[in-house]
Amino acid sequence: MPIIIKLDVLLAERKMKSMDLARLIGITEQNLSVLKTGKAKAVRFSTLEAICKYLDCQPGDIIEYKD
Amino acid sequence: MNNIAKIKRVSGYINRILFLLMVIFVIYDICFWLFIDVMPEYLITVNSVPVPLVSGQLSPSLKLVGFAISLLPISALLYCLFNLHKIFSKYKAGIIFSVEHVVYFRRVAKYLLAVVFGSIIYESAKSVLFSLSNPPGSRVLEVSFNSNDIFILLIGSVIWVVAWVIEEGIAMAEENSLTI
Repeated sequence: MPIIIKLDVLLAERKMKSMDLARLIGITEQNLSVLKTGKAKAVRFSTLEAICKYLDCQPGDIIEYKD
Repeated sequence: MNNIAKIKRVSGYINRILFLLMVIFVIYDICFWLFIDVMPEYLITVNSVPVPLVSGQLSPSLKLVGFAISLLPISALLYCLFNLHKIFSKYKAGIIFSVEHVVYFRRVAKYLLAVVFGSIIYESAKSVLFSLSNPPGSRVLEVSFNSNDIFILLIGSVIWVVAWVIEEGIAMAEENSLTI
Protein backbone atom coordinates (compact mmCIF):
# COMPACT_ATOMS: atom_id res chain seq x y z
CA MET A 1 0.00 0.00 0.00
CA PRO A 2 1.46 3.43 -0.89
CA ILE A 3 0.27 4.89 2.43
CA ILE A 4 3.05 4.73 5.01
CA ILE A 5 2.55 5.13 8.75
CA LYS A 6 5.52 6.84 10.35
CA LEU A 7 4.46 6.30 13.93
CA ASP A 8 7.65 4.38 14.78
CA VAL A 9 9.81 7.33 13.75
CA LEU A 10 7.69 9.79 15.74
CA LEU A 11 7.78 7.57 18.84
CA ALA A 12 11.56 7.25 18.56
CA GLU A 13 11.92 11.02 18.18
CA ARG A 14 9.70 11.64 21.24
CA LYS A 15 11.42 8.76 23.12
CA MET A 16 8.02 7.36 23.94
CA LYS A 17 7.07 3.70 24.26
CA SER A 18 4.20 2.20 22.23
CA MET A 19 2.65 0.98 25.45
CA ASP A 20 2.51 4.51 26.88
CA LEU A 21 1.02 6.02 23.70
CA ALA A 22 -1.58 3.25 23.53
CA ARG A 23 -2.59 3.99 27.11
CA LEU A 24 -2.73 7.75 26.50
CA ILE A 25 -4.89 7.53 23.37
CA GLY A 26 -7.12 4.81 24.78
CA ILE A 27 -6.45 1.89 22.41
CA THR A 28 -4.86 -1.48 23.00
CA GLU A 29 -1.20 -2.14 22.33
CA GLN A 30 -2.22 -4.75 19.76
CA ASN A 31 -4.27 -2.17 17.86
CA LEU A 32 -1.41 0.31 17.96
CA SER A 33 0.84 -2.42 16.60
CA VAL A 34 -1.66 -3.03 13.75
CA LEU A 35 -1.49 0.69 12.98
CA LYS A 36 2.33 0.85 13.17
CA THR A 37 2.84 -2.14 10.92
CA GLY A 38 0.53 -0.74 8.23
CA LYS A 39 -2.01 -3.57 8.59
CA ALA A 40 -4.84 -1.21 9.51
CA LYS A 41 -7.54 -0.64 6.89
CA ALA A 42 -8.71 2.68 8.32
CA VAL A 43 -7.87 5.18 11.06
CA ARG A 44 -10.59 6.93 13.04
CA PHE A 45 -10.41 10.71 13.26
CA SER A 46 -10.63 10.40 17.05
CA THR A 47 -7.52 8.15 17.07
CA LEU A 48 -5.66 10.47 14.74
CA GLU A 49 -6.64 13.45 16.87
CA ALA A 50 -5.43 11.74 20.04
CA ILE A 51 -2.09 10.75 18.47
CA CYS A 52 -1.53 14.30 17.19
CA LYS A 53 -2.40 15.68 20.61
CA TYR A 54 -0.03 13.45 22.60
CA LEU A 55 2.81 13.43 20.07
CA ASP A 56 2.34 17.14 19.34
CA CYS A 57 2.35 16.70 15.59
CA GLN A 58 0.22 17.04 12.45
CA PRO A 59 -1.61 14.20 10.66
CA GLY A 60 0.85 14.60 7.79
CA ASP A 61 3.71 13.76 10.15
CA ILE A 62 2.10 10.37 10.85
CA ILE A 63 0.77 9.45 7.40
CA GLU A 64 2.68 9.76 4.16
CA TYR A 65 1.76 8.89 0.60
CA LYS A 66 4.49 7.31 -1.52
CA ASP A 67 3.85 6.24 -5.09
CA MET B 1 -27.45 -7.44 29.89
CA ASN B 2 -25.73 -6.69 26.57
CA ASN B 3 -26.56 -8.39 23.28
CA ILE B 4 -23.57 -10.75 23.28
CA ALA B 5 -24.45 -12.02 26.74
CA LYS B 6 -28.07 -12.53 25.61
CA ILE B 7 -26.94 -14.37 22.47
CA LYS B 8 -24.68 -16.63 24.55
CA ARG B 9 -27.42 -17.44 27.08
CA VAL B 10 -30.26 -18.05 24.60
CA SER B 11 -27.96 -20.00 22.26
CA GLY B 12 -27.23 -22.37 25.13
CA TYR B 13 -30.98 -23.10 25.51
CA ILE B 14 -31.51 -23.45 21.74
CA ASN B 15 -28.54 -25.80 21.53
CA ARG B 16 -30.09 -28.10 24.12
CA ILE B 17 -33.43 -28.04 22.28
CA LEU B 18 -31.71 -28.86 18.96
CA PHE B 19 -29.87 -31.78 20.54
CA LEU B 20 -33.15 -33.02 22.05
CA LEU B 21 -34.88 -32.73 18.66
CA MET B 22 -32.14 -34.78 16.99
CA VAL B 23 -32.63 -37.55 19.56
CA ILE B 24 -36.45 -37.35 19.31
CA PHE B 25 -36.46 -37.54 15.49
CA VAL B 26 -34.27 -40.65 15.51
CA ILE B 27 -36.36 -42.35 18.22
CA TYR B 28 -39.61 -41.35 16.46
CA ASP B 29 -38.49 -42.79 13.11
CA ILE B 30 -37.29 -46.07 14.62
CA CYS B 31 -40.47 -46.43 16.72
CA PHE B 32 -42.69 -45.56 13.74
CA TRP B 33 -41.37 -48.45 11.65
CA LEU B 34 -40.93 -50.81 14.61
CA PHE B 35 -44.48 -50.45 15.94
CA ILE B 36 -46.30 -49.63 12.71
CA ASP B 37 -48.49 -52.77 12.97
CA VAL B 38 -49.80 -51.90 16.40
CA MET B 39 -50.23 -48.15 15.89
CA PRO B 40 -53.68 -46.64 15.33
CA GLU B 41 -54.38 -45.93 11.67
CA TYR B 42 -54.66 -42.19 12.14
CA LEU B 43 -50.97 -42.14 13.04
CA ILE B 44 -49.80 -43.96 9.92
CA THR B 45 -51.91 -42.38 7.21
CA VAL B 46 -50.36 -41.03 4.08
CA ASN B 47 -51.37 -37.50 3.05
CA SER B 48 -54.69 -38.58 1.63
CA VAL B 49 -55.78 -42.16 1.30
CA PRO B 50 -57.89 -43.01 -1.71
CA VAL B 51 -58.23 -46.64 -0.66
CA PRO B 52 -58.48 -48.08 2.85
CA LEU B 53 -55.22 -49.01 4.45
CA VAL B 54 -54.65 -52.62 5.22
CA SER B 55 -53.20 -52.30 8.70
CA GLY B 56 -51.15 -54.81 10.57
CA GLN B 57 -49.93 -56.57 7.46
CA LEU B 58 -46.57 -55.07 6.78
CA SER B 59 -43.90 -57.74 6.55
CA PRO B 60 -40.55 -57.18 8.29
CA SER B 61 -38.86 -56.73 4.90
CA LEU B 62 -41.38 -54.00 3.92
CA LYS B 63 -40.85 -52.32 7.28
CA LEU B 64 -37.10 -52.41 6.67
CA VAL B 65 -37.57 -50.89 3.20
CA GLY B 66 -39.83 -48.20 4.70
CA PHE B 67 -37.29 -47.44 7.41
CA ALA B 68 -34.46 -47.30 4.84
CA ILE B 69 -36.40 -44.82 2.68
CA SER B 70 -37.36 -42.78 5.75
CA LEU B 71 -33.63 -42.24 6.29
CA LEU B 72 -33.60 -39.95 3.23
CA PRO B 73 -35.52 -37.03 4.78
CA ILE B 74 -34.59 -37.89 8.36
CA SER B 75 -30.84 -37.91 7.73
CA ALA B 76 -31.10 -34.62 5.81
CA LEU B 77 -33.10 -33.15 8.69
CA LEU B 78 -30.63 -34.46 11.26
CA TYR B 79 -27.75 -32.96 9.29
CA CYS B 80 -29.61 -29.61 9.28
CA LEU B 81 -30.10 -29.79 13.03
CA PHE B 82 -26.47 -30.86 13.51
CA ASN B 83 -25.26 -27.80 11.59
CA LEU B 84 -27.66 -25.53 13.49
CA HIS B 85 -26.25 -27.06 16.68
CA LYS B 86 -22.74 -26.11 15.48
CA ILE B 87 -23.90 -22.55 14.66
CA PHE B 88 -25.39 -22.10 18.12
CA SER B 89 -22.33 -23.65 19.78
CA LYS B 90 -20.30 -20.86 18.21
CA TYR B 91 -22.85 -18.26 19.33
CA LYS B 92 -22.72 -19.75 22.82
CA ALA B 93 -18.93 -19.32 22.77
CA GLY B 94 -19.44 -15.66 21.80
CA ILE B 95 -18.28 -16.10 18.19
CA ILE B 96 -20.91 -14.24 16.15
CA PHE B 97 -19.24 -13.80 12.77
CA SER B 98 -16.95 -16.44 11.32
CA VAL B 99 -16.39 -18.13 7.97
CA GLU B 100 -17.67 -21.36 9.54
CA HIS B 101 -21.05 -19.71 10.14
CA VAL B 102 -21.43 -19.13 6.40
CA VAL B 103 -20.53 -22.76 5.66
CA TYR B 104 -22.99 -24.07 8.29
CA PHE B 105 -25.82 -21.78 7.14
CA ARG B 106 -25.31 -22.87 3.52
CA ARG B 107 -25.39 -26.51 4.60
CA VAL B 108 -28.62 -25.92 6.54
CA ALA B 109 -30.20 -24.27 3.48
CA LYS B 110 -29.05 -27.01 1.09
CA TYR B 111 -30.16 -29.84 3.33
CA LEU B 112 -33.54 -28.23 4.01
CA LEU B 113 -34.10 -28.46 0.26
CA ALA B 114 -32.95 -32.08 0.47
CA VAL B 115 -35.50 -32.66 3.28
CA VAL B 116 -38.29 -31.56 0.91
CA PHE B 117 -37.19 -33.82 -1.94
CA GLY B 118 -36.51 -36.68 0.48
CA SER B 119 -40.01 -36.22 1.95
CA ILE B 120 -41.61 -36.41 -1.48
CA ILE B 121 -39.80 -39.70 -2.15
CA TYR B 122 -40.59 -41.00 1.36
CA GLU B 123 -44.32 -40.13 1.25
CA SER B 124 -44.59 -41.68 -2.22
CA ALA B 125 -42.84 -44.83 -1.02
CA LYS B 126 -45.10 -44.97 2.04
CA SER B 127 -48.22 -44.87 -0.12
CA VAL B 128 -46.88 -47.83 -2.11
CA LEU B 129 -45.80 -49.80 0.97
CA PHE B 130 -49.08 -49.21 2.83
CA SER B 131 -51.20 -50.26 -0.13
CA LEU B 132 -49.01 -53.15 -1.30
CA SER B 133 -51.18 -55.73 0.44
CA ASN B 134 -54.30 -54.38 -1.26
CA PRO B 135 -55.69 -56.40 -4.17
CA PRO B 136 -54.24 -55.60 -7.64
CA GLY B 137 -55.79 -52.44 -9.01
CA SER B 138 -56.15 -50.91 -5.53
CA ARG B 139 -52.49 -50.27 -4.95
CA VAL B 140 -51.51 -46.63 -4.80
CA LEU B 141 -48.53 -44.51 -5.76
CA GLU B 142 -49.16 -41.03 -4.44
CA VAL B 143 -46.69 -38.26 -5.21
CA SER B 144 -47.47 -35.11 -3.28
CA PHE B 145 -46.02 -31.66 -2.85
CA ASN B 146 -47.88 -29.74 -0.17
CA SER B 147 -47.85 -26.36 1.55
CA ASN B 148 -45.47 -27.65 4.24
CA ASP B 149 -42.92 -28.46 1.53
CA ILE B 150 -43.33 -24.98 0.03
CA PHE B 151 -42.84 -23.48 3.49
CA ILE B 152 -39.64 -25.50 4.07
CA LEU B 153 -38.37 -24.49 0.60
CA LEU B 154 -39.06 -20.86 1.49
CA ILE B 155 -37.23 -21.16 4.83
CA GLY B 156 -34.30 -22.84 3.03
CA SER B 157 -34.13 -20.00 0.52
CA VAL B 158 -34.24 -17.39 3.30
CA ILE B 159 -31.40 -19.14 5.14
CA TRP B 160 -29.40 -19.25 1.89
CA VAL B 161 -29.75 -15.45 1.56
CA VAL B 162 -28.90 -15.05 5.26
CA ALA B 163 -25.65 -16.95 4.56
CA TRP B 164 -24.75 -14.34 1.91
CA VAL B 165 -25.62 -11.54 4.34
CA ILE B 166 -23.40 -13.11 7.01
CA GLU B 167 -20.57 -13.39 4.49
CA GLU B 168 -20.88 -9.64 3.89
CA GLY B 169 -21.10 -9.12 7.66
CA ILE B 170 -17.83 -11.00 8.15
CA ALA B 171 -16.08 -8.74 5.63
CA MET B 172 -17.46 -5.69 7.46
CA ALA B 173 -16.51 -7.10 10.88
CA GLU B 174 -12.98 -7.76 9.61
CA GLU B 175 -12.73 -4.21 8.27
CA ASN B 176 -14.06 -2.89 11.56
CA SER B 177 -11.49 -4.88 13.52
CA LEU B 178 -8.75 -3.31 11.37
CA THR B 179 -10.09 0.20 11.88
CA ILE B 180 -8.02 1.78 14.60
